[in-house]
Amino acid sequence: MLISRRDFIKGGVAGAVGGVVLYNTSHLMRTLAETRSAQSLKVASPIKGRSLRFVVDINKCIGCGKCVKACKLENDVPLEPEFNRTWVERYTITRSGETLVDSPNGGIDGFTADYMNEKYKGLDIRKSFFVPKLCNQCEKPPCVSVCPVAATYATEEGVILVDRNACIGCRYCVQACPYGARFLDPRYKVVDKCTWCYHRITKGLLPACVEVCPVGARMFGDIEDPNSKVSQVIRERAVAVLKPELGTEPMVYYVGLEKGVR
Amino acid sequence: MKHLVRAGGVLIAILFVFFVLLRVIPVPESFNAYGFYREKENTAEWAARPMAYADPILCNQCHQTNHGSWSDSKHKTVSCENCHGPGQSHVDKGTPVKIDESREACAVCHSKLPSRPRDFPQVDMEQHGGKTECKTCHSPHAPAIPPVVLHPEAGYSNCLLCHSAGGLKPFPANHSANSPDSCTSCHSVKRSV
Amino acid sequence: MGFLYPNEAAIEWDLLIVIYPYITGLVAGAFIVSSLYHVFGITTFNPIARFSLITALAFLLVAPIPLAIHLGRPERALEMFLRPNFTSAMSGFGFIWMVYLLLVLFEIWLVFRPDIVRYAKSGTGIRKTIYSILALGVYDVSERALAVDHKLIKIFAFIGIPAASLLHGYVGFIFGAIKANPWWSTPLMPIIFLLSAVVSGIALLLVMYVLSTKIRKVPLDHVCLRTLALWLGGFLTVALTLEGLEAISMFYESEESWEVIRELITGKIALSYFGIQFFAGAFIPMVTLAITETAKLDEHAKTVLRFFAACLILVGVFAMRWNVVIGGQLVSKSLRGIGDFTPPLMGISGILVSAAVLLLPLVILGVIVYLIPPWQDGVKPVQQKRLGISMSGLK
Repeated sequence: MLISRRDFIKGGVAGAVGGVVLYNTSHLMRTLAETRSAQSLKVASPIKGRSLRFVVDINKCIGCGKCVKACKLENDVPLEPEFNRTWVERYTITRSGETLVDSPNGGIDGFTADYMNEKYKGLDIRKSFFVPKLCNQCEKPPCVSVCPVAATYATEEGVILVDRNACIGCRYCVQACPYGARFLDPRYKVVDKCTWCYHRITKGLLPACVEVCPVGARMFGDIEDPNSKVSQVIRERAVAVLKPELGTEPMVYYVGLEKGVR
Repeated sequence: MKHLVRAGGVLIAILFVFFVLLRVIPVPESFNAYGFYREKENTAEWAARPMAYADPILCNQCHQTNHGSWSDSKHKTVSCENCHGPGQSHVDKGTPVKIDESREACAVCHSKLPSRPRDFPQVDMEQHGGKTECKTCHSPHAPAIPPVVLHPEAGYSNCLLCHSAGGLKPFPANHSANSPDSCTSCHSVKRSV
Repeated sequence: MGFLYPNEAAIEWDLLIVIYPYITGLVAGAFIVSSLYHVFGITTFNPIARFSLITALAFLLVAPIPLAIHLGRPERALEMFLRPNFTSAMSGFGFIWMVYLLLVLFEIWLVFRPDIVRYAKSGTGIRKTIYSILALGVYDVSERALAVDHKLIKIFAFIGIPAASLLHGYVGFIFGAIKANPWWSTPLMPIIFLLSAVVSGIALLLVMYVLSTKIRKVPLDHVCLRTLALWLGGFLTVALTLEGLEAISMFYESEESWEVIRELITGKIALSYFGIQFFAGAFIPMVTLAITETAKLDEHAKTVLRFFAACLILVGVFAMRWNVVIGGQLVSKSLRGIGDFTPPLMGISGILVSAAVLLLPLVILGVIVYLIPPWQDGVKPVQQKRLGISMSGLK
C-alpha cells in the first residue's frame, strides 16, 4: 500500500478536524447569508437510519459528463476509462427496434465529440436518452455477502464501503455486482466503488456528482424529510430501480426508466 | 490404538504452535478498539477523506457580483464548480481556478444531440457563431435568449469583428456603398461595456 | 462487441482462476478413485489405489497457489482464515481445503505407515531422519496396530467422499451462486463441476498410470485399466448429460439473457464450447471408449485408445473450466455485449505462470513417489469386506 495505516489515520484525523471547522463555518455563513439557490439544498444532518435515496431523472440528463469528471476528481479515481465509480450511458433506439448503447470513456468528456456521433449519423432514431449509473447501495447487496473477509459492508446509513486495509483483491464482489459498479483500483490493488461521497454527505453536503449536475438530473437526500427534493420527486413521480428481478433492492431510484435499460 | 494416540498428540502440539503463531503475528493494533472487522475505524477513514469540490455556499463570500447575477439567471442550476472546476484548494490555499472558455466547453452541454431532452437549449455548433467564443454574445453568468450582447463602443474595427461579410452577424450588402467614418455615426449601441 | 459496462473492460478472473477449479477437480476425482477401492471394495483398482491418494495430495497442495497469486494483495491471503465472512462461499475455501488436506494426509500416513517404518528402520543418515520424522515417532506395526489402521483408513476414505464432493461442489457454488451472471447462475453448476471433476480425476489417473508403467517398464494391469475406463465412461456420460441439459434449458426457457448467451456460445467461445468441451473432449472419447468395449482389439490397441480418450477428456474438462470462468465474464452484465480476452504470455496471470502452476503438482508427485513409492507390484489386494456399521470397527 502506498500509504501506511498510521499515515492514513493521521491524515484522517487532520481531515476530520478540518472538516468540522469547515462545516461549522459554512453552517454559520449559510444562516447569515440566507442564500436560496439550487445549491443550498443540503442533506439533513445527522443522517438517521437507512433513509438516504439517490434519484436519477433520465428525462433531464443532457449527457454533459460533468458528474463523471467531478466524481473522479473528488474521489481520486484513476482517470483511465475502465475505472469508474459513476458513468453515463447513451441509449439510442432506432425505428427498426434496435437498441444501441454506448458510453465513450464512461461519458467523462460528454457525448459531443465527432467520433462519438459518427455511427449515429443517418440513423433513423425513434428515441434516445442518457442514463447515469452509479452504485445502487443496495439494501440487499450481493457484493457484501460474497466478500470472503468482510472487507465491504454497509454503514449505518446504508452506504456500502470497502475497507482498503482489509480487501484482499479477490474481486468476487466485482463478479457479484449486477450493475458493474465495482472495479479493482490499479494503484492499491483493492476494490473501489462509489461511496455516495461519504466524506461529503456526513458533513451535510451533496455528493460531488449531484453538486455539479447542471440540470438537476441527479438528486440526493433523505426520504424521511418531507421537504427534501428526493422525497418530493418520489412522492410525485413514478420511480423504478435497475434490475428489480434480482432482488437487490437498490437505493438509487430512476425517474423515466425506459424498458430495455439494464 | 496407543500408537495413534501418540501420533495424534504430536500433531496437535504442532497445530497448537502454528495457531498461536498465526494469532500473535498478524493481529492489528486497532483490533481491540474497533472490534473484529474494524468497520467503524474504516468508516471514520472514509468520512475523513479530503474534499476536492468545496461547500458551494462559500463562493458567495468573495465573489458577490458574479454570484448575484448568476443566482437569478437561467444558469442558477449550474453550480460554480461545474464550469470553474473543483474549488476546495482555491478556498484553502488560494490556488487559482482555471476555466475553459472554449466553444467546446459550452458545447458539452449545449451542442445539439438527438439524445438530449427537447426543451433543453441546444444549437448546432457548426451552423451557429462560426468560431467566435460563446461568451462574446452570451454571458455565462446570466445567459439569455436572444443574447443580450455587450458592445464595446470604441472603434470601427471592433464592429467588423462580428459584422463584416462572413462574420457572425454580417451587415446588409447596401452598407458598403456608404462607407461612413464609423458605425456609431448611424447606429447607437444598445448596451455598452 | 455490443455494449459493456465501462468497468467490465478488464477480465478480473483470468487464466489462474481457470486452472484453480481444474486442479481441485483433479484432486476430487483422484481421491474418489482411491475411495472406490477403500470403501466400495473395487479391488481391481489395487495397482493405483495408493498412487491415486498421493496424486490427490500433490494436486491438493497446489490448489491454493493460483488463488493466492491471483489476489490483488497476496500478502493478505491468510485473512481468509483470520477474519472469515461466513456469508461468503469463498471464505469456506480455506477451511474446506484445510480439513480435506488433513484428511488426505492422515489417510496417506496410515496407508503408507508400514513402509515408512520399514524405511526408517533400514535407512541411514539423512534418509533415516526424514522417515523418522514422517513416522511421527510411531513404530508400532504389529498386526493389531495395522488392523486398527485399516479400519481408520476405511473411515477416512468414507468421510473423504463427501469431503471431496464438498471441496469441488463448493467451487461450482462459487460460480453458480452469482445471480448477477446469467451464464454462471444455475443450481446445476455445483453438480456439473463435481461430475466433470470426477471425470477429469479418473482420466488423469488413467493417463498417469499408463505413463508410470512405461517409465518403470513394468507390465500394465489391463483389468485395472479397463475398470478405470468403464468408470470414466460412466461419469463422462452423466457429466455430458448435465452440461448439455444446462445449455438446453437456457435455450428452451429463452430468458432475457438468452440472446447474449447464444451470441457467446455460437460466437466467441464456439470453438472451445462446442468444438472442444462437447465434441473433442466428450463425444470423441465416449465413442473411443465404447469402441474399446465392443470392438475386437488386442490389449495394446485398447490401451492406446483409452489413453487417447483420457487425454482428450483432460483437454475437454480444461475447456469446460475455461468456458465457465472466462465465458461468464465475457458476457456483459448489461446483457448487451460480449467482451474479449486473450491470456498474455508473460506476467503473473500469463500462460507461462499458469503452465508452471499446472506442472508443479507433477513435480511434487515425483518427490512423494520418490519418498514413499506407492507401487505394489505383485502385492495381492487385501480382501475387502463390504461396508457396514458392524464393519467400522468402532464398537
